[in-house]
Amino acid sequence: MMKLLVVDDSSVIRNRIAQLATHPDLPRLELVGTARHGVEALELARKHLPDVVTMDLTMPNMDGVTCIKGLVKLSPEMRILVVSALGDRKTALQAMTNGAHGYLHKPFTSEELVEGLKELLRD
Amino acid sequence: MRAIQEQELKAFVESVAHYFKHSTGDRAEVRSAFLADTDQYLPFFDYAGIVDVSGDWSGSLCFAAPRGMLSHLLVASGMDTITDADHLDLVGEIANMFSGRARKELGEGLEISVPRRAAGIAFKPSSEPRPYVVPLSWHGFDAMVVVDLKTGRQ
Repeated sequence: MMKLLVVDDSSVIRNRIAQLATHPDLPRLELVGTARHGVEALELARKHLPDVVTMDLTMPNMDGVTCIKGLVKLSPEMRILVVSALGDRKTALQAMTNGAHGYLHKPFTSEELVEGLKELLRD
Repeated sequence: MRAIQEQELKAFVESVAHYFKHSTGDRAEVRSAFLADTDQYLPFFDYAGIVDVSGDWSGSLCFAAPRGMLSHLLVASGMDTITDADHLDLVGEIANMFSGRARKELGEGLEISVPRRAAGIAFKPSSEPRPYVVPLSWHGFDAMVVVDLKTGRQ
């Protein structure tokens, strides 16, 4: 079973992603933690070494792109799906060039998140 | 510095319409934007999410909504147990989504902060240029977006 870490400063979004990660169309994912910002995410990642991470970008303490860089250093195989409200091309490109594998815009539907995770795990 | 223009305001109006349609399947009725009177309080709402803007723009965007609308949106997102903290969390997240999508149109020079959240506050626009108010309704609930932005761009 693959390990999942959910990173977002919104508890509503964290809970929603955690809930959707149990969708029957997805491989079984074990939620190893949820983090409110990049600093918490790196602590949890060091402890649990997740296989899959969903990552917000605009967060307090440490933003998503900085956190992605840290996660990639920790484990280059980690699959990272950015889930962000930032809709511009430059931000998406910045996240992807620093190690993210997919990008999903907020607001997202359940189907879009499941599809995004499926794509991430298919690669 | 100049105020945001009506054409640029469209980016926010469209982001509001997109949010409700995309995340709930139901359209919000987004009414015509108007310039707020700076000597009067704006309509009171239970919760507000505020995103501060910097970079090529300065000012803020605020989404203010009643508890009932936010409860409906939380239920629609699959939550069955809802707390006050969830209402606050969501109102900030919605303000964040409106700003993030508008950035797509207005460019990455529109830098947005982590949202601030507030409960039970009344807004009195205090500065020139006057902010725009975008009123909206969804499922019988009224809410508003206050766009208080100016820019040095021509």
